[in-house]
Amino acid sequence: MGSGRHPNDWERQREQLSAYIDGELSAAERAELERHIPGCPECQEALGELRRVHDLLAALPMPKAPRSFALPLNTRLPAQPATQQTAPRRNRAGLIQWAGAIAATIGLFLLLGSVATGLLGFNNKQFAASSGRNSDTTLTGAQSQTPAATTPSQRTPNFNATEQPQVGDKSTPGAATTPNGTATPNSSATSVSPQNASGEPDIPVLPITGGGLLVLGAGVYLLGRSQRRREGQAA
Amino acid sequence: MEDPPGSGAGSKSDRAPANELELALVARSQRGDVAAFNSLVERYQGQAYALALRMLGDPDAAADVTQDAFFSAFRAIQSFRGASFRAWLLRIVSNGCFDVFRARGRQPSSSLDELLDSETAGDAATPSALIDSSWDPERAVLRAEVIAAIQGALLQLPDDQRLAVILSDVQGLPYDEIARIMDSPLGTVKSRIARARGHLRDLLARQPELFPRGERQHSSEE
Repeated sequence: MGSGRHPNDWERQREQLSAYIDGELSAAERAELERHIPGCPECQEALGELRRVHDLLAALPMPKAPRSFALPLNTRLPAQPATQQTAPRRNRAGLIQWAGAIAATIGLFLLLGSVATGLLGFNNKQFAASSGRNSDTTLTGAQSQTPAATTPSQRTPNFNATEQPQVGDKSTPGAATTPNGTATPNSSATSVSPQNASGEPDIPVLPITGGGLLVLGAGVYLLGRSQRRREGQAA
Repeated sequence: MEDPPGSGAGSKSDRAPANELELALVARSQRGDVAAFNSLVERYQGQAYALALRMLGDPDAAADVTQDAFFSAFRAIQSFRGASFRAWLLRIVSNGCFDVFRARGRQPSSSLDELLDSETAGDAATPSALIDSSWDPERAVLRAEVIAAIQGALLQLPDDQRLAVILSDVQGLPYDEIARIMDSPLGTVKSRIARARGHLRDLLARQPELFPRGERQHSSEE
């Protein structure tokens, strides 16, 4: 195919000729091309070749299907439309996000509570015992003096409560859980017995637990959020 | 009812196939009616298989792609919102063909030379993929080696150009429907078809019988 008369836009000219064969040009384009072709041997030759290719392909035999592609009559549609299929996963991600948020909140309270009682409770345990929220840390101090007797019985429920914070802890945020929450550090405090032996309240345990829970909860929250966002984009 | 799919290749005879009956079948399929969906299968399986066969050059793979496409179409039928079931279906088929290319590492199943070698080895060696008893005898005008050469040339085209020119010239679809199937602008479709025809012209020009040089020979054949 030549390009002498169409040095710069032969590609476009060939597209026009090709579309002309298919009847896909506008009336104006068609009229323009029909005025041009009689005086342009290159376009005449190219048109002939394009048409020849088209005719060869159009003459290819159309195969019949080798067999029936009908589906078995017991074929079922998916149980739910695609949009609903992603919903449970999104809910699960949302649950993870909530669990993380709750755990982080509890951790924050533990941290703040321990810092507050660390400041107050050192000098005035009586004062701390009289206020509701701080009573847990006073208990810590009290129990830490008798660790062997009380902690084993409280250990199992404690671990259950802290490992599933979104269920137990959230539903009873006030006085009911706080004793449990403090028993956990106690159980671990037994392993850090030198502090107990020295007679001082186990100050580092509660902040460490609280801080750990805060960081862990925040991480879980972010994980849940990113998963939720990813699923949102996929949907 | 309209012509059987593809029977009017090049004539653009099967424009706007979507009609009330088809939309009703789609609606019933969306409610889980397999029998209704199978009416659609029966209607388009020839065209779907032909597209896969021309795209892949391999009857077994084409049958697999076609069957998978119908299963996929049924599973996704509730998400179908368009006006043209055929365009939607052929898009699924072409995607299935692209998946096969990817799995094969983008190697066409056979080259032009291989196809011609197998053709010239004798009539007994004629690939059943290209000439078999199921061909529509009214359209079986081209000789086996000519068909093999065209198929071989098609397989050497870039995938997008091959799809565009098969839909246009073999299946006889209008540009706007091809654009829907390929999810491409009309201008891109127009360009791909023109480029494909140019490539095919170069490939087929190696065979003087297939592509006689000049208008004299061209007109003498007609």
